[in-house]
Amino acid sequence: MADDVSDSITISGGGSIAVATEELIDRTHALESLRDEARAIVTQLTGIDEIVTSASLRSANAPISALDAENEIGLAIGFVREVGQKSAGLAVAMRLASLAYGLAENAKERMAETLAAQLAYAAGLVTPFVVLSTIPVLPIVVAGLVVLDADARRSGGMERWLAERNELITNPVIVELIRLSSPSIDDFAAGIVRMPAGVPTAMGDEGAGVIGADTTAAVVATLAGVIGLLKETGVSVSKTGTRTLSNSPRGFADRVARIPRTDENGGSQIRIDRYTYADGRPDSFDVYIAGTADFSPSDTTTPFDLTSDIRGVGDLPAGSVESVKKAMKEAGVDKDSPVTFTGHSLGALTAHVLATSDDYNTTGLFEVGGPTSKREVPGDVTAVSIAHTDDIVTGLGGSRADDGTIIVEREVFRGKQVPTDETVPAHSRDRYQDTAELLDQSQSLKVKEAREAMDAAARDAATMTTTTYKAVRDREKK
Amino acid sequence: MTTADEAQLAADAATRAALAQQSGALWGTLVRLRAAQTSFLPSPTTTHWKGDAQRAQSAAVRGLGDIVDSACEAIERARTFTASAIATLDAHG
Repeated sequence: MADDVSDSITISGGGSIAVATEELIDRTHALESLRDEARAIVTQLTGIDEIVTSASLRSANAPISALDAENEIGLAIGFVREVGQKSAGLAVAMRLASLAYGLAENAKERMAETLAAQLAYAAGLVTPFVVLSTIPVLPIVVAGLVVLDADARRSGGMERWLAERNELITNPVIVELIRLSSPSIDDFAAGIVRMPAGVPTAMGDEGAGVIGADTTAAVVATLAGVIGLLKETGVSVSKTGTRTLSNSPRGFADRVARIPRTDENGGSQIRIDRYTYADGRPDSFDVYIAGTADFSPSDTTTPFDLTSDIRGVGDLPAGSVESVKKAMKEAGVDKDSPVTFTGHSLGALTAHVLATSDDYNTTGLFEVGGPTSKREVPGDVTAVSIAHTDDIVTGLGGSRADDGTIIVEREVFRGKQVPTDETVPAHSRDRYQDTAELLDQSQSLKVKEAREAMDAAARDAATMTTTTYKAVRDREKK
Repeated sequence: MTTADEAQLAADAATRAALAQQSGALWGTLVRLRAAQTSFLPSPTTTHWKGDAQRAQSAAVRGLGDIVDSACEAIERARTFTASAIATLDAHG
C-alpha cells in the first residue's frame, strides 16, 4: 500500500443510520473485549478467593497476613468488576455516539441540499450568466464540451485540463459542493425561467425527487446532442478471451483487482466469471465492469466514454449499459441467474443501473468510485459502495437515495500533497484498491457479512471460467 | 507428638499448600489483567480523534486504566501478603 495516503475509512449505511470511523469501530470492539475479559477475571478471582477460606485459616492458626491477602483479593474483585461495568458502559456510549453522528450527518446533508437549492434558485433569478461559472460542476462539463476544441479533446486535453487543477478538484470541500450543487442546477434553471420559488425545491431531490441531478445530466446530454456531442449509438460486443479460473474472489480488494484494465488488455471492458455447481443449481456469475476509457464527448469508438458517463447519471440509455447487457446475454446470464456486479467509476454506475433493473437476479453490487445514482438498490441485494471524499467523480449525481448500501468513505490525500502528474488522482483505481484492502481488514460486522455473502456464491463451485468482452460503438448505424 | 499436634500439622500443611496455589493463581490473573490492559485499552496518544471526542475518549481510557492499575496493585499486595503468610507458616513448621 502506498505510504503517502490516509489509512482511515468511515463506514455507514447498510440499513443503519450510524456512521463510524474504523477507529471508532476498533475502539468499541476493544472495550467490549475488555468488558468480557474483566468478567472472566472476576470469575477467576472469585475462584482464587475460595481456595483459602477463613475457616481453614483459623484452623491452621494462619498469620494475619493471610487474612490481609483475602481482603486484597476482595478489593481486586471490586476493581475488576468496575472495569467490566465501565468498559461496557463506554462501549454502549460509543455506539450511541456513532448513531448520533449519523443522525447529525443526515440532518446536515438535508439542510445543506435545501440551502444549496435555494441559493442556486436565487442565483439563477438574479444573475444567471455571471453565476453560471461559480457552480462547480458546470466548468468541468463546459470545459469538456465547449472550451476544448476537437483536436484538444482528441489529444487528451480534458485529462490535462483536469490534471492542472488537481489541488482544486481533489478537495473534499469542492467534492461536497459538487455533490450538493449537482441537484441544484435544476433550481438554478428554475430561477432563470422565473418558476415560482419553492416549486423546484418541492419537485427536486430535497422534495418529491421528480427533478434533480439525473434530470440535470439528461438536460446536459440533450443540449450537447444539439451541437453533435454526447450522441448515443448502437454497440457491438465481441469475446476477447476465455479461460478456466483457479481461484474464486476473496474479499473486496480481490474484486477490485478483477475489474478489467482497458489500458493493459487491449480494450476489453467487461469480464464475466461463471460458476457452475455439481448439485445442479443454476450457474451464478460475477460481472466486472471497467471505467471510462475515453473522456472525449464525440467520435469515440468505445462505449465507455463521456457520453455514457453523462447519460448514465441522467438515467438515459447508455452505451456502457447496453454493452454489458449484450455481454451478459452472450455469457449465458438469464433472468434467474444469481449475479454480483462489480465496477469502477463508469463501471460502478453501469453496475448500479443493471443491478437495480428488473432484468437480472442481482444478489450483490460492489461500486468503486462511481457517480451517485438515484436508483434505489433493492433491499435483498448485498450492496457496498466505496467513495473517496476527495474524488470529484463521486460527487457527481448528488446524494445517495438508498439506505441499504454500505457506504465506505476515505479521504485519500488528507494532509498530503496531491500529485500533479496524474488525472484526478483520488479517482485512481489503484488507490481504490488500497481502500478495498483496508475494508477487507475492517472489524465491522456488517462489512464482514457483506464480504461473506458476496464471496459465498463461488466458494462451492465445481468449475469456474472467466471470459472477457470488448464493446465498440457502431458509429455507422446512427 | 499428640494426635492434636498431628492434626494441627496437617491443617498447617493444607493451608500452606492452598496459599501456594493462591499465590500462583494470583500471578496468572495479574498477567492476564495486564495483557487485557495492553490489548484493549489504547494509549490516549495513539487516537486520531480530535476535539471534544478525543478529550472524552482520553479521559474515559485514563479512568479505566487507573482502575485496572488499582486492581493490579491489590493483586500484587495479595501476593505479598500470601508469600508472607507462607513464610510464617514455614517458620512455625
